[in-house]
Amino acid sequence: MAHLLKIISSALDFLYFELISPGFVIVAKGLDMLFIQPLQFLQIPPVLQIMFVAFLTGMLSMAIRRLVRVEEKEAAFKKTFTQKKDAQDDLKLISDWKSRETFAKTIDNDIDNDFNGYLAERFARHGMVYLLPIFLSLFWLENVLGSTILFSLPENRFGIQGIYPQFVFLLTYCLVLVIFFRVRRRKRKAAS
Amino acid sequence: MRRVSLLLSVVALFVFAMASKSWAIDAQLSGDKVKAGDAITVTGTIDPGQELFVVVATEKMFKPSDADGPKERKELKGGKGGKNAFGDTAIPPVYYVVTSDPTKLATPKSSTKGQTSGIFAFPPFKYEVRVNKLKAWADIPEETKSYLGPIKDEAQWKFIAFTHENKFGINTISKEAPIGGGNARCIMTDYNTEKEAWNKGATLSLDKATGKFTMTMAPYKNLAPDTRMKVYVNGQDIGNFTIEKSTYFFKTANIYMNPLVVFFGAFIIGCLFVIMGAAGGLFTAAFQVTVLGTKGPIGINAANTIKPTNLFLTLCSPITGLMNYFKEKRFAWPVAIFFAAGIVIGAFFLGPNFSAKYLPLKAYKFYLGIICLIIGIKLFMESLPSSIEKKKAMKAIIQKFNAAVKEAKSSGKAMELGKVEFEKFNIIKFDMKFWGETFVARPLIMLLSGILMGMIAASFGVGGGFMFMPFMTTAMGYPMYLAVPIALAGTFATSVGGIAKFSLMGYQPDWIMAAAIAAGAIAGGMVGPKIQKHLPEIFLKRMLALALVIVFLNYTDALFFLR
Repeated sequence: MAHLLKIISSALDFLYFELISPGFVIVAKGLDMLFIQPLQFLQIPPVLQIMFVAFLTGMLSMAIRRLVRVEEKEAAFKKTFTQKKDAQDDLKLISDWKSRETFAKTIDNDIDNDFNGYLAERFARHGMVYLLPIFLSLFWLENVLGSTILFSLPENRFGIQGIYPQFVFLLTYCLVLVIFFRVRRRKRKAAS
Repeated sequence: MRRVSLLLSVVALFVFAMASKSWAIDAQLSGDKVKAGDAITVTGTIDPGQELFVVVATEKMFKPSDADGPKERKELKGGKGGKNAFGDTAIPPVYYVVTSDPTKLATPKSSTKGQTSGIFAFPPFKYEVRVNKLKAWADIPEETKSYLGPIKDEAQWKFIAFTHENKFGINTISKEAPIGGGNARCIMTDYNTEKEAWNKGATLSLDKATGKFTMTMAPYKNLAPDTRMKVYVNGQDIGNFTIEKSTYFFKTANIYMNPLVVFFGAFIIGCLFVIMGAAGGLFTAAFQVTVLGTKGPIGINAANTIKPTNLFLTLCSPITGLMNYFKEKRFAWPVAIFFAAGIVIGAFFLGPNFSAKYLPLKAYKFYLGIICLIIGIKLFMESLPSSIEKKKAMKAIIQKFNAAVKEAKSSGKAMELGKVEFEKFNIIKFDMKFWGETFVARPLIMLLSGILMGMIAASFGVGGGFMFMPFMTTAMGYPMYLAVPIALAGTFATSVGGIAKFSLMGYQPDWIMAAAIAAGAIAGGMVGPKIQKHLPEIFLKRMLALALVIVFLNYTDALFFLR
């Protein structure tokens, strides 16, 4: 058993360290060179650097949103859902109650399965769009800038020590998303 | 005169050599680099007839003011109830003594552990376990005291005892797993000579006639890469070695684990989440505690790393549903606003503070175990035929309601139906009309219950859905279509309040671990519904219930072989 575990562990180590990790390192170094180093060279304060990274992460989320076609998939599901519901309405035309109930049950189960799948997929899509970019950006930021307090607060009974980079990041990220959705809504309204 | 001074010099040299006890010690380490989790061997010679004391300790010392966690810093510095205050005392966070005469430093004895106080202070939660209890400083022979390496005084010795015998000390500083639910390893001897659990993995041979010795032991397996360890033989510094990483090291979680293992583990969690339909936060918390064994950085209690990581993971689920419920006008706002406000208050102002102070890993695990038992029982009940029938009927009602929402939306009636109507607002109780039905709204009860439940959920670093739903459907008597959106708003409020507070307190999640868990859970969530159809639901639910009961027994230390 121990031998088997060792083989599995070695295989996973190979996969991660030889194939996945180098990719991450190259991306991290590229991002560092492209964004952080120029900002540091310009002596931009860390708070603004974090806000800039949060802005980019927000943009990345929006790009992934477009890439995984969140809206199209939602619309497609709603269309199928409505069609199946309509099919259920058509069952009224069947006069035999037993057959009608059997058909209704089948369609009902089908809709139920569709809905469960839709919920799980939606969780996955939103995880990909929002959670993963947040986690990976914060991990990268932690490695580049560290996790030191940006502004310290005097000792207080709430135990709040100060403002940390992650707090600034999350606040800016949320703000970017809110602005993005508002602008888009306004544009759509104007277009319609 | 010359002869006298020569004689005096020889005598002085002899006295100096004897006093320092260093002239006869000759020792080597098996290497200057040791892979985390691997053993180090020390071989050499000491004075014939002497006992052997090999100290293996981290080179970098730790003092309470170094702790990054504000609650931990305060408790370590000032103690709790006047006890265990260590001020500015510095010790190596990882410290072992492997000796041929352990009785000089510790006494094997039976000790009461587990829930020693509180409402659960009874067997099997309170139990007896054999530990190697460190002796009081005054009871250690003076000569032995000089063999303890960086430990020079009573304050340091007391602090060492605290980091090996007290669960808070173990989970905050030494981080090593307590043996059999007792103490962490500290004073050890050869396992073949003394077959006690704490000696496992330690070998020591000493030929007293020649003074030749060999000692092998493996330091704590999750020591960070590049940690420098010092080795002392009978008080003499004989060198150091550096820890090399064994696989990927999660810096904040403070553990070695291949991220792919985390990913695959979370994938299973994702699948279970789909089958369960709830309790995702609880599963990820248990996954972090049991499978990953998240420890947290030195100076931060393990639980205060698990909770913020988990709160981030619980954020995803409510985000997805919340927006749609808003759009569909399915929020009974007189109820939802007060409930969510209460949860934010509880999750921000009370939960993390309460949790960081009163829910260190030991208590956290225990109460998490209790919650697992409750959910396990609930899951078993759900697997009973009567419950399955009831659930089907309930699903049909929800589907009908969803269809009504859709129809109302398409016919433009949604705005009209989704409007909340009431005659006069009253903070205690008033009648409101929502989606064509009349309900009793109790804003104050919702606010107060929200505060309490928000505090509990943020304390445990979970969304809290497992509390919100029964509260609203059973205690408040609301139907599912009213309760689900409010519960979702509640979990969102818990995550936001808890995350904001934990991050302001300086408790950081392990981002890469969170990313690996999220990625795995996402993949599991996608695959889950596809495989669920082909799996026997009743059998799966019962197996899950059994697994949760085992987690309960493990976390509460109720069974000796699971401790």
